[in-house]
Amino acid sequence: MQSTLRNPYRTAVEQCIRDLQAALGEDAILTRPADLLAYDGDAYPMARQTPAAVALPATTEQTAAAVRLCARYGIPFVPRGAGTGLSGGATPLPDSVVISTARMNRIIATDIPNRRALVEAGCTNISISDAVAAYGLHYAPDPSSQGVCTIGGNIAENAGGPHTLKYGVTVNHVTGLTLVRPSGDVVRLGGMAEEPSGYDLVGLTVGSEGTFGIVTEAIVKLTPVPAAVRTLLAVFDTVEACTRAVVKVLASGVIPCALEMIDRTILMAIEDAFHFGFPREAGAVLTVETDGPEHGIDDEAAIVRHACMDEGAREVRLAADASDRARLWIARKKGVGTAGRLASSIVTQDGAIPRSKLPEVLAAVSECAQRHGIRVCNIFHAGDGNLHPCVLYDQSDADEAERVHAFNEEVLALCVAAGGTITGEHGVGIEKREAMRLMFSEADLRWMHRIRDVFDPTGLCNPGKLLPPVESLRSLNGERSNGLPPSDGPCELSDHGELLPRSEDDCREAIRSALRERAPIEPRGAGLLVHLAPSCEDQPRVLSTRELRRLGPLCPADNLVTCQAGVTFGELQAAAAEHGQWVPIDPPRADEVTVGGVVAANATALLQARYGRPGDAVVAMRAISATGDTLRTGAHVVKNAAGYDLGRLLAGSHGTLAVITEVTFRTLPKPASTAELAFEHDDLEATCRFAWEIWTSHPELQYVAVSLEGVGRIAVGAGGNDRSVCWLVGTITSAARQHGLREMAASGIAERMRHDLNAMSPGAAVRIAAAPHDAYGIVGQHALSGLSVTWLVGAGVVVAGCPSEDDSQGVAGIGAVARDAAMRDAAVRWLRASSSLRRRWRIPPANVGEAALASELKRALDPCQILSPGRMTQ
Amino acid sequence: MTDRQAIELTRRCVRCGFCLDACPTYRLTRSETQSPRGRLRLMASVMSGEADLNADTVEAIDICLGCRACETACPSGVQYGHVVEHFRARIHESGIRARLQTDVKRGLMSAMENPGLFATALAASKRFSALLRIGTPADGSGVGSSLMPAPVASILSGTRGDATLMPDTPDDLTVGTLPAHAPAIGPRRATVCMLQGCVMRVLYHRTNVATMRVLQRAGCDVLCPSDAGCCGALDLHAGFMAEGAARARELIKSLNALSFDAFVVNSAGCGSTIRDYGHTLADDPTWAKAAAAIAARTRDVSEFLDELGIPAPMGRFDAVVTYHDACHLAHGQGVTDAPRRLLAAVPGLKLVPLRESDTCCGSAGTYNLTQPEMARRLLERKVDNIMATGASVVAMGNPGCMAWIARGLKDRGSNIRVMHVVEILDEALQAGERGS
Repeated sequence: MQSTLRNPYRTAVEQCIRDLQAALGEDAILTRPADLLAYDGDAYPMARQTPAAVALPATTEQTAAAVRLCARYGIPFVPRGAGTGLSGGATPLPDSVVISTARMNRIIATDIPNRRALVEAGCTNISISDAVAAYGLHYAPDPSSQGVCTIGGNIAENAGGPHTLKYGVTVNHVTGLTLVRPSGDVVRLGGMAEEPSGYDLVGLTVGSEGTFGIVTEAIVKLTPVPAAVRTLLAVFDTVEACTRAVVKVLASGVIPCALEMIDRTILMAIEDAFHFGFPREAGAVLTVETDGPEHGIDDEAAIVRHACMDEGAREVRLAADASDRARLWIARKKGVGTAGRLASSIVTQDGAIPRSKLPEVLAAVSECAQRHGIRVCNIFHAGDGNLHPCVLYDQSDADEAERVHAFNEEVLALCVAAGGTITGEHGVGIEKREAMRLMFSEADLRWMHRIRDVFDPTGLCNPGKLLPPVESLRSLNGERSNGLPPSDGPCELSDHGELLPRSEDDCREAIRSALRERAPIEPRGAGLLVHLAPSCEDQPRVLSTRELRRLGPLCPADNLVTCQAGVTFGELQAAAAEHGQWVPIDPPRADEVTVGGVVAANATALLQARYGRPGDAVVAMRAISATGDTLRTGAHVVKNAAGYDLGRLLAGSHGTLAVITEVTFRTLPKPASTAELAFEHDDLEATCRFAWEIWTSHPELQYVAVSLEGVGRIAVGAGGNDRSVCWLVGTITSAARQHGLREMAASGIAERMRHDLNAMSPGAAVRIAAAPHDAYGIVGQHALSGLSVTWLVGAGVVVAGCPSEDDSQGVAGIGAVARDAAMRDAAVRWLRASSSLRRRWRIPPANVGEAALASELKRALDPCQILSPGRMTQ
Repeated sequence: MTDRQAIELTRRCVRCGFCLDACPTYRLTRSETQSPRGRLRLMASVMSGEADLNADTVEAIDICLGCRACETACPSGVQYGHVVEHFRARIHESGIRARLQTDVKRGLMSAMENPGLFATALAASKRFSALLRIGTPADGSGVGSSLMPAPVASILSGTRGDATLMPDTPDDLTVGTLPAHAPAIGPRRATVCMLQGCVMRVLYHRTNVATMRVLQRAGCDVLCPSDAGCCGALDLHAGFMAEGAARARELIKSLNALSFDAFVVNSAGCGSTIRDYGHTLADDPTWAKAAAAIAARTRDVSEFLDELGIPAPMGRFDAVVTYHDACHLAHGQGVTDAPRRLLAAVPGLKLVPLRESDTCCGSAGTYNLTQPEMARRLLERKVDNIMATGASVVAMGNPGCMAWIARGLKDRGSNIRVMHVVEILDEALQAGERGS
């Protein structure tokens, strides 16, 4: 092994280590073989490699210094949290430097009114919840390893957990990041506000598996601990009956917060480990949890119980108390670890599939295991369709390890063939890199590579992970890249000279010809949500996707609905409603706006506070890139961690990165009962105060929104089981009376607010996105300024407008609100304004570094600047 | 145990990492090398010949407290304690450690395990320290005993260091002896044999007396054979397997002729060791069976009393009390609820939770002498947490923790009392007898 020749690379590594020691201190750099052995991998057993050194920086500055040194010497580096990853994302490369965030584990600040915490990346997931437990809050995503895994690792993998069924995965709970870029520069992405001001770079970075740099700090959302919880354990004779019950429960109208399945093999290991008294003879057990207000919670538990009994559950136990419930969750969360009692090595698969295919895919997995002579047990997030077949084997048995490899590949292919994904939450890492090709075309992967290159031009940041190599990154100018003959057939033109493609192919050809002519295009749907005229010199040609009219397939059993971009939102909602479902998005003028437009503009309204933006409901998408390629992203599953989240990037990108042609949404069962309330008060401040109070004391409400225009109005929406809605309506109405608010007919008021939140009326308007309590402060400050102000309470969104651009007092008022908002770390953007007004009242980007990164991204993905140039970036 | 067997034990580890945050040394250093998962990887690599046994390897294993908190956290059931004990034995055998260090360590243990010698040596050490004014309070009051002289300390820790912080020890250093038989008070409900121990007899005879009294009031005939000596915990813990096994055999021999329902132990470190005798003497055909039998009958005093119940009336013990989980009780024996239940049932006593209650205080046998730096950091963290509870008494079930935590509290000027759980019960029972 020893060579007498000095390898120049080795010399660089040694010099780099010396400099690292000087910069961070000897104590923070590990280089002894005994140390390095401990860092030769994470919880993925199939790849092992010791690094050249391990750096344990204590601050963002030290991390940046370490990264800068790696960049200077050209040494690859591998970010690492607690090393609990299951896909080998933290597996070192030979002669690489592992940079661990473990020592950065301070909770820097908590902001209880705003429900945010600023934490260092090395904080364990559970430590955040522990720190705010006294305030009745918690950090919602709860991966099984939450006692040890770090928030930085969660962000890298977009980690899930049992309760993500109702509360969403990591990306739904992170609003801001501090990222040490691979150059060593530090950039802040996002902030306290949930809604991004431009491209959703936070959403893109979450789940990027440490390929964009090293996240050193995060701002995370804190969620109220539900008032009541019911946890049930349903015992089944067979896995099949158990999976049928999963579908049944989810069709029942109840949205459980967790739905977890454990099969017999692992159940016995759990019993051996903890002696909880689980039924050893059961074929499978299902843990179902529902939460919400105390009122009606037992009704939900009863519905779940019946659904399970209908599918042949032998018994359904209700956790009697907190310790009983804790036992069920210890069993579930430590379950995979107990498999160590069954074999010396375990590797946990992570494919996710449409739920309705659970029985057949599980059967196929078991057949495949038998064929390869491999033992497999199952413990997984059944509600999400997120399989975790856990393979029991012996890594030191080369033959068996080989068979496990073959088995794994087959299972991934099975999942993809069923319309699913290769990874629901564990990430691609080193394990499933090649399997990415099962899901993505060369064009898709090229697109992802371009994004990676923007974030990491050095190529030194966690190389070899996540993305398989592609042939080349050529065809930037839109030359043929997928073997299709070039088409000169002009796309159909409308009466107004719009490009009006009637198919996805048409759309692609329209963009290709635009590329050839270097003629910019402005993608649109119905054109109703676009209130900002393009600011580029040439008026770009409009390309409307409104003729892409295919609706379907509808997959109610999987809670999915797919349609092309030109379908109106009303049509989509009606189709879902036929199956008792809905998409929790409420754009204004739903019968006219198109699905593509709604997603491209991220245009929702009142429901945003509870259900997020349209991008949060999108699970898969098809689009035409600015280089004329057909892109596919996501899968027909509700949870997916394969590759960069292009859907999230395109949602809200206003057609500047690609033209959306097809969208698949996740649907929810329609609540059994809904109610809309409206109130009025002459005192604007009292109106705001009351709205804030009911939102903070009733987290289960669908929305609370306020409009201030001479008089204060409040709209409240509730949905859920009959008893809880009835109780909410009673409680809120009587509270309103006590506070001197007048009840009003609700019809019309909510829709008016939907219009105002999207600036559908003429005039000028800005949209402010802030943390919830900060938004309250901004609204309070400007309640009396004479502007028309609409405030979506929980989301921290404020729209301030005046009826005409000629109203100089109104425009000045808008400017004042915008300045005040900027002082509070809020993101401000024009929602409706002429280009001249925007030039006059330029709103500078809140964060220059982030804006520059967004511009780079735009240039990389639209190198010829043909999609609405200047619309989102400079 | 052979290397092969030990490697087999390490193979249970699936590297899930669930042990990391349970490990006191990982929590302080945040270094994977100083975590159970990292150590298992290292030990397995050395035993399989993949890595060298060298000074670095030894250091990485020496820093382990052996608190076994990782075993509680481990879903896979890795017997970490057994692996590390085996590996420590292997380190001794390899001769890689400086001879002097091993000898001084052995000598120290032999002294501690022999009550007469221990009392004499400790008294001498105190006088010596006082003479050199080591660890003497600056105002010159009292006999200094808080620090171990630097020369001895540096040999033990294998580093060139300063004088080491010593556990708190009483000024009156005599060897206490309990009567060989003490009858039940009230109707007899059980016959128990009680371990007096070695260190306990010198440092905490008061606890032994309290234990006997409480057991009597609980209706137990208490046997206390005078020839039952040290259980070998310190040896086994440090990897001196042969010496430890010899101690175990002697103890079992001394109990052989007696008939009792339970062997009650009030020192968590001893209790967890004796309960593991089946493993310690598994390869000894003569003693294996007897060892397993005694192990099966061994109970920590809190666990035993919790099961049996105490019929005698209790008086008030008016204090806010917090409870520290000794590692070898919580992790070694899985006893966490029993002592809390006993305490909560005492009239007037308010039990408040202690943050990180089951994290090691740093005492860990002789760890506080061999790894003074880490032990001191852990002690400080423990004392911080205790002081934050606002309690006036901190209760626990292990002499090592008691002496070490008492030292930490004293040095911080705190007057929080350190008590064994049975001492609190004893006071309450005595108060009950007085009719208060």
